[in-house]
Amino acid sequence: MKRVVPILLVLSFCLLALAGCGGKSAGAKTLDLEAFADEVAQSVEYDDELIALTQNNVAHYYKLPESGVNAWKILVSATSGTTNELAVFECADAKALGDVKAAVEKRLETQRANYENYIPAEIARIDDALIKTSGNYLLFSVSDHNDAVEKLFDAALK
Amino acid sequence: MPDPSLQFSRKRKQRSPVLPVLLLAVIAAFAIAGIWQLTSPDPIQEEPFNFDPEIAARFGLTSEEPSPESAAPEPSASSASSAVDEPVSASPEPLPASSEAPPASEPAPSDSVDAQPSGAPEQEGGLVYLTDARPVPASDRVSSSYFDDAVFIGDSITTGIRLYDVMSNAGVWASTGAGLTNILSLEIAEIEGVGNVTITRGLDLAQPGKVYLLLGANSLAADLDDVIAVYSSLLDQILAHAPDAIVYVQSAFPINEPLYAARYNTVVTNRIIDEFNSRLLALCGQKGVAFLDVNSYFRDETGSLSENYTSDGLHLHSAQYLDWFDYLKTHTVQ
Repeated sequence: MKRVVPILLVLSFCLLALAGCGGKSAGAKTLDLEAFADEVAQSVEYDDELIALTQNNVAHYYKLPESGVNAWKILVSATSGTTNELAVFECADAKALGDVKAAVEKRLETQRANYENYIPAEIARIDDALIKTSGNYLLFSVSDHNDAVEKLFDAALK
Repeated sequence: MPDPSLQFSRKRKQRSPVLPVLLLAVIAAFAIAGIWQLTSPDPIQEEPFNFDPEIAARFGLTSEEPSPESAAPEPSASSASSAVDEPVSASPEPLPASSEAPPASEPAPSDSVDAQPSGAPEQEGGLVYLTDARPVPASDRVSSSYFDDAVFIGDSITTGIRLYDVMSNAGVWASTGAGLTNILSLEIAEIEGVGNVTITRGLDLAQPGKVYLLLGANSLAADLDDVIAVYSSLLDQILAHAPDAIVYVQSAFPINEPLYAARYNTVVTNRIIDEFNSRLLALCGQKGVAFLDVNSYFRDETGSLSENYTSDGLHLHSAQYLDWFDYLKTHTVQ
C-alpha cells in the first residue's frame, strides 16, 4: 500500500501536466468559427447577401485589439443595403474578450449612425442586436433571427 | 543489539521502488506532452488573418502591400474607414445648393478651360485634361499599379472596392453614409500616421495622382439643378486641394428599377439618372476634368442595370466590380 500511494500521486501529476500542456481544460469545448458561420449562413434566412471580411479590410470595420484575438469570422452585408451581420471571435483571455466586446459595441454604434438617416427601418434590427459571450468566445449577430443564431451558438459550445 | 547487515538490507529495500518509478513517470509524461504539442493543431496558428491568395493573384496583388499596421515615414493615402454610411433618399427632398459643400476658397486650376475651343486639350501642371463634353475614350490597358496613387471618393458603391478587395493598393475614401451634401464634412480619408480626416485635408496630405469620384446616386431625388450646383462646388474643392491630380468623374450607375423601387424608393428612375449624367458630362467639360461613362458600360439594351448584376437594384455584385475596373483600366487619360 505504501508503494501504491506515491505511484498514484505521480500518475496524477502526469495527467495534470498533460492536460495543462494541451492549453485547454479537458472539458472545454472549442468552436470551429468557419463551420459555425457556414452553419448559420445555411440555416438562418438573411434578406441580403453576406460577405466575409478579410485581414485586408477588417480594420476599417472593427478596431480589434492588436493581440489576444486568436481567430475571428465576420460576415457583413455585401450591398451595404442592410445591417445584417454575423461575427464570432475566439479570444485568448478575459481581457481580450472585453476588448473585443468594446470593439463590437463601437461597430454597433457606428452602424446606428450610418443608417439612421439612410434606411431608418434598419435601426430596429440594430436595437435588437445580440452580443453574447461563452467562455472565451463572443457572438455578435444583427439579424431578424437572432434567436436561431443564438441556439446554434449554444449548441456548438455545449 | 540489532544485526548491522539487517539494517543495511532494510534501507536499500525502502529506497529502491519509488525514485525510479517517479523518474520514469516524469520522463514519460514530458515525452508524451512534447509529442502532443508537436502534433496537435494550434488554433492561433491557423492563420485566420491570411490574405486570400486567390484574390491576390486575380488582381495582381502581392503580400507586399502595406498593412494597416505598417508605419510609413510620410503620410500617404490609404483606405477609408466606414465611419458613416450613405443615404439613399426615400423621398424627394430639395437639395440645398452648396448646403454642406463649402464654397471654393480659391479658383479651381481648370476654370480657364472654359475659354478653350471644344475638343482642345489643355496642358496644365503636366497633365492633359479633356476640355470638351465627351467621355474618356477607350485607351490602352493600364496595369493595377496605375491605381497606386489613386483615391476613390464615393458612397456605398465605392466602399465595395474595399469590401471586395478589388484594388487594395488604391485609397478608398468612401462611406455608406456619404453623399454630395455631406462628403466634405465626413472624416473618411484615412491617412497613415494621421488617422481619419476630411477628404480635402486628405488630399492636402496625400496629394494623390488620380482622384476618382462616384457620387450623386443618393441625391437624385432632389432637383437636378441643385445637385449639379453642389457637384460643381465639390469639384472646385477637389481641384483646389489636389491641383496636380487627374480627376475622373464617373457617371452614376444605372439602376434596376423594380428591384430599386422595392428596396429604396420609386422616385429615382433611369431617366433621371440619364439626365443627371448628361448634365454631369457638361459640368466636367466646363471644369476640364475627365468624365467616365461607366453607366453606358453597365446598362443593358433597355437602359437598366441587369438583375444579374445586382440584388437590390443599386449595388453591384462582386463580379461586376471586376468589370468596373476592367473599364477603368481601359479608359484613362495621360
